[in-house]
Amino acid sequence: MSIKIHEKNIDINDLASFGDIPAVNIELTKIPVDVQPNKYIKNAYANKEYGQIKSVDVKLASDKERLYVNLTFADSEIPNTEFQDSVGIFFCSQDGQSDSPVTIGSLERPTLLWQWKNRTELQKNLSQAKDLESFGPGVFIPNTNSGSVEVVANGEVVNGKWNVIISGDLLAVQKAKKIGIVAWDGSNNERAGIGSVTSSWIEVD
Amino acid sequence: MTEIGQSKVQHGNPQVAMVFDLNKCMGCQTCSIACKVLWTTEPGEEHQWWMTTNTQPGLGTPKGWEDMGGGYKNGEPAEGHQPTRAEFGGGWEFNYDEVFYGGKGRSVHLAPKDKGDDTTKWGMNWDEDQGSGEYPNSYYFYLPRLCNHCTKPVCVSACPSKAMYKRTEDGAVLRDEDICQGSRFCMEACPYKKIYFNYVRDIAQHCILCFPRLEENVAPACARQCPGRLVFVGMLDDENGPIHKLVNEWEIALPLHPEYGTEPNIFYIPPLSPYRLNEDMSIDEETPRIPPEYLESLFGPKVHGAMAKLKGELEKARNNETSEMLETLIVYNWLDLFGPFTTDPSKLDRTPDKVAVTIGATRNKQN
Amino acid sequence: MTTGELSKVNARLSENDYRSRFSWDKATWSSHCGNCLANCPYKLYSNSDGAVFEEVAGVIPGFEGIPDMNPLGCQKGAAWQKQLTSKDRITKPLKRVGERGSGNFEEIGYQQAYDLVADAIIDSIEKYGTDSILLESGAECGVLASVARNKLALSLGAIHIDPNSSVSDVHAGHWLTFGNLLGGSSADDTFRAETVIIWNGNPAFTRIPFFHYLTEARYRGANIITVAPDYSPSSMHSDLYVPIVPGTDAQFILGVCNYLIQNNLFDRNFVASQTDLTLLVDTRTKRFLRQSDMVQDGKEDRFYGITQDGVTLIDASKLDSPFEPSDFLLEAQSDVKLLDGTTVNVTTVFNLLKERLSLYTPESVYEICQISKDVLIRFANLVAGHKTKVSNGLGSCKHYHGDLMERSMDLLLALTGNWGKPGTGLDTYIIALLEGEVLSMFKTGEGVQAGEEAIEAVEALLQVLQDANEATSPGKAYVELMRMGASLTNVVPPALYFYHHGGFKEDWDKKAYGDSPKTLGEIINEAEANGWWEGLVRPANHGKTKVMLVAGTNILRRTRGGQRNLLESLYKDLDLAVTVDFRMNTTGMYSDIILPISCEGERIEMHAANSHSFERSFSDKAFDAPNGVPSEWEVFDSLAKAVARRAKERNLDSFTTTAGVIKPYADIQKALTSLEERSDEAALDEILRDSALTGNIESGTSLYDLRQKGFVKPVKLPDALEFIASNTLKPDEPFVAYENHLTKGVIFETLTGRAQFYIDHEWFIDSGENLPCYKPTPKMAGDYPFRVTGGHPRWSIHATNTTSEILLETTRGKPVAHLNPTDADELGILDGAKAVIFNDYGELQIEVKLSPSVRPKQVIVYASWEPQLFENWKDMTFVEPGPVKWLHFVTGYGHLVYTPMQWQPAQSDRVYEVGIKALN
Repeated sequence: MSIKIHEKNIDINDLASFGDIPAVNIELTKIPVDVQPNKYIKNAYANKEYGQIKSVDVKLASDKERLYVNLTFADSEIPNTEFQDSVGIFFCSQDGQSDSPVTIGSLERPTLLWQWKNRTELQKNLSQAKDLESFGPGVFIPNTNSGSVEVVANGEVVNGKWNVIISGDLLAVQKAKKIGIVAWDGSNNERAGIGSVTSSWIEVD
Repeated sequence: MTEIGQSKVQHGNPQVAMVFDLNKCMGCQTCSIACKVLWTTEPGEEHQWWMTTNTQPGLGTPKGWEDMGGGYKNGEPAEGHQPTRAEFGGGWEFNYDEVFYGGKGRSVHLAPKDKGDDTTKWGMNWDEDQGSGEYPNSYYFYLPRLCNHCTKPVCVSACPSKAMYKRTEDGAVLRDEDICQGSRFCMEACPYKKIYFNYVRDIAQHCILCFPRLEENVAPACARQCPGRLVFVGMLDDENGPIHKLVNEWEIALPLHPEYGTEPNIFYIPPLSPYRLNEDMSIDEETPRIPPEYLESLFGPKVHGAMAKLKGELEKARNNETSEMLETLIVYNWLDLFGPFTTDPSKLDRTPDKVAVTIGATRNKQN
Repeated sequence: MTTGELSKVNARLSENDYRSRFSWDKATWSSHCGNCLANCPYKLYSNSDGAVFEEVAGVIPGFEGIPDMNPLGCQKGAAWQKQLTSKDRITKPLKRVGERGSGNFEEIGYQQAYDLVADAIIDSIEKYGTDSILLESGAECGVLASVARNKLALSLGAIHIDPNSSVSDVHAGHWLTFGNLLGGSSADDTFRAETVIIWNGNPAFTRIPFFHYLTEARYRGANIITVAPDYSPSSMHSDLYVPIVPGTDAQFILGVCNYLIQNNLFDRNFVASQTDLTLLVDTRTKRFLRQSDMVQDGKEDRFYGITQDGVTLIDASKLDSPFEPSDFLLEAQSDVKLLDGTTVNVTTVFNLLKERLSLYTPESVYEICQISKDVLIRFANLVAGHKTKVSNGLGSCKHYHGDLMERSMDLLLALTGNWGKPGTGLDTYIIALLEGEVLSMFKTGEGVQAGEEAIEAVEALLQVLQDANEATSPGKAYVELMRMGASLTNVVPPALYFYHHGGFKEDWDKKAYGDSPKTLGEIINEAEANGWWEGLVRPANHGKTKVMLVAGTNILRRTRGGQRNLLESLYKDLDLAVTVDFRMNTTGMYSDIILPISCEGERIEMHAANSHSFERSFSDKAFDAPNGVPSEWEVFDSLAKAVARRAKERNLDSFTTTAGVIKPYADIQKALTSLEERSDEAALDEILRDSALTGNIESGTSLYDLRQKGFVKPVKLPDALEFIASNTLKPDEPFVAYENHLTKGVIFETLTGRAQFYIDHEWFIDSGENLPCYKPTPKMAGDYPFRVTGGHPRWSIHATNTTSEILLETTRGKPVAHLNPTDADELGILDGAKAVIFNDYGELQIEVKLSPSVRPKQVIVYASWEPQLFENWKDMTFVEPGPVKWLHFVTGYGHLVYTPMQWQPAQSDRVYEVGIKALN
């Protein structure tokens, strides 16, 4: 599967600014229990249903400096209480091409992960953007090698669908060439390695 | 993929331990307030009470925590429930302005604002003094609780980001809040449900064993402010200290729910109670007011030996014999409670400038 | 990367955030809440933004072999600074613009506020006289605030309602027995007890800083007993819990006393030397045999007993030693020939008592109290022969027949020889003022010379009083001095004030409570007509209160039947209601002007002390108050100056007080100080120096020393306390009240000079209360199934902390009524549901909390919740009947003479009846 980056000026605050760029529908699968990073999570989630977000529509755009990722996906009808909906894009590391993206990187070959988290429980339309390094499913730590281009994000629900924009340094995708998508249905208490992910890398043209 | 497994059990490192003597606890919540005013007054911390005292039997805080799972079963980390914001309740905002200055008179009264999230339906001490049993043989007692700073901290092993760690200096179980991603597996795994979530900062938080105080040889705030003089603090392996004697020698200080398998470092002297009364209101000398099986459900089977020992020593004291154990429990000198942590904080130079220097040194040491 | 390397990413840097939270610029002395009286020494840690946190200081030295008092504190103290930044804090003067109670205020300037108050005061004086001004000074204050209020009140000739009896803290029963203010021992003496009885109190709630002495005494081998209707939070730390039908304590105690006498388990020597049980009573008249009955010019206050030599006059100037057999017999009777020639039979009080007690069989105790014989015997044996301390809260004095409970309790202690010795007596409290505070009221100017003159004046007065009668002890003289002070300070007994001005007239004119032969209204009118309360009926000639200043109290909350009655009576007459407070409360809501004051950390103050610890702690100023709010001293000084200035501007020269004294208005200027300017610091320094001058505290002590040490400990008790508690402070052991009665034979302040169980006043004889007895609590509020108890809560000192957000978090955030689940079942009320509490007086809504530790048909509503926490602000005052006991209007009998703070009728608020129903 592949996806193209369109040249376009995007306003992070204008969720309609991707306009008529064609979306690519990406299917997601449950992050397997056996790749979870510790015994607790393996034991506790062995018999749990998760990975509720089955697909995401993705659009990519860039100006010369930034990559803009537009992700739209269905918002569960179950209200969120403890956990909020979230989605992320991660970038295949140079030597991680043979790894499956379902682990979102590994200790040996971490990937860069840009995550958007809905924080509307605090303030209407408040988005949180996280610039992370991922060493495995949920093994996320803040990216200590961030460049000068800050990861930003925005999102809102329109007609039962999340419309999210995440943006960061264009270099990330230029280096990686392959990306993965990970999504969490907060109403199902999904977060960290409990979510759904692309089962194969997506080539970026 | 490399497994990030259970944390290494760090036997042999210094461990600060505490013993709470439940026979002195009056449930006043001074420990809770002492902790609250010092550590959890920032936004997102309103509902956080790292130290709480609850009435037992009861649902406590978070509501029904003893039925929420977690800990170890058969040596394996067991599934646990992540306590919700509503199950903790509290963190209320009152309508002062409306009542006092709103010009509405008696039509409004002071009450927590209902934000539609069920947080006004429970609180950190909601079932205070309710207890169990039947009058006049009802029973209850107070149980102060904080993070157990376990020797086998299941929370540490449940964190996917490796944000949590057990300090080698004092055994405090902490979290690097710069790393924490708010995934809350620690809250699920902790069987004592003593971890809170900061919804503003998107991180979990819990009792830090007052490590900045320990670093200055000052006792933790809950212990030092306790007017009931019931909290012993010290190094667990100090054979000359009261904690070692109470826990290991006399075996009257017991961990809470030892079956959870995390090896707590907070211990309790189990509660005595007044005589039960028979139906004709005569004294029942045989049946303890607090059912022993209830105490066993909290403190494990060792509680029976501890109770017998305690009662036996009390009998000695009433016959004017000296009991080393009871003399230890009396605590004639307040500072004797605190082992090596007897420094008066007001004597410290903790100006922000000075603390910044300390922090700089710590940072250098860690790097 | 490996696992190990990943772990290293965790650099523990966020530890620094917590290290930063534990930092401050300075640590200064603090304490809180004059309302509490424990005055625990704290340290306030602050930086340029204000308070960071507060923590116990833990600096009180202890005695060898006794646990020290540290740390002294509680949750309210630890949370205090949070209350000061809470939204109920008042930081600007407010003027009411809407209806009273509406909460419509506008901010005004200080000068405008002071002038409005000053003009109202002047108008009131000119139109209605000085006693139309009521200055209510409550317990929420330190030394400076208290002195400031009292000095302005004195200067204006304003009246005030007796602060102790208006909150029903008068131990009428103990007064009947001992005739004094009740000397409590220090809290650490409890450690030396062999048996501790928690009675009419709940120290786990109310004596948090000192509770550890109970648990430590238990570990030392003491038995702890709790007598209470509910399995209270103090009960859990007892060995024996005695569940009792509410209000029947006297029946149980007298049953125990009967058992002790029947089984010869009592201390004969102690009883014979310390009490009136050896005194003789004329069996025909039931009056004591007096010297005046026997000899020409014999005295009314000299009494007889029987020795081997027959009927013998008892030495009134001293008591015999309780450690050796007395010459006077307990079980004796005789015929004597009186002066008028008649021969009568006389018998000892002991004989009468024994006969009376014989009615208090174990069977009757079981019937009335539902306490078994088994428990009664266990109890009796734990007290007899054991050093026993009764931890007596302020609950007993709030029962209608609380005096009978207390007299019975005192009898139990007497029979078992339990006072004046280590580990014995009543563990209650007495306020230990510093001598300098008392002197400040007598001083006519500033400085050492004025201090010395004041000391001489007080001493001379005491000497005159003492010389007047050989049977007057220094204690008796001091009580007499207090009575003289009553007329100087324009105090009015609340029973009289509330009858005439507080809306109780209609009710009391109709009702005779219990076995009273007359309605309360008739009793009051008769007492006034007979001149028994002459000079105490204020305002004089039943005038009205026109200006009310309330400082450090919350009259609408604290008064029994408060809002229900006061708003419809007193408030209708008021031209101006003024509140001086740091926080908004019900009384503030109904005020016309609110003057804000600074609080701990924002100004200096020395705190109140009681006999639990004796130390006086200090609050230093650490930072400025918000919006520059002045101290209470400054507020009252400004008010004084405003009155003088406004009078001058209005061309008024002088006024005449109700007492007839002509005063220049210009003098009000100097109400607080004769100097132009006088800081809080100088005023406190002077109080300390004067105290040092009397030997009360270490010679040369000044504010400098207080600021260094954080507290000042008396080296000698103030005279008042030394006389009344009848012992001197010793440097190396806990204080034991009443020791001098045992070791030095010092007499009590009663009519007979002895602990007096027989009261031969006509009303007492007629009502059968000439000796302790049990009487059921009369119905007060109708025929309803539930009985209300309550008392001080855990979470607040009176109402002061009930609106503190942080402390409310430790509750359900609202007031609750505790009910037994079986009762709730019958009523169809679930835990957490709302119920209506009602009786003949009114109704209110409240959430129900269920606990099997509540006695069936008991409902516990702990006192003090700020009414704003209730629906429609209707709190328990809407169902509180609040009658006083008619017998307490007795005056002119030995020690039964109105005494400020003490002997007088006070309202009861325990075990009145209510109905409960689910709120639909």
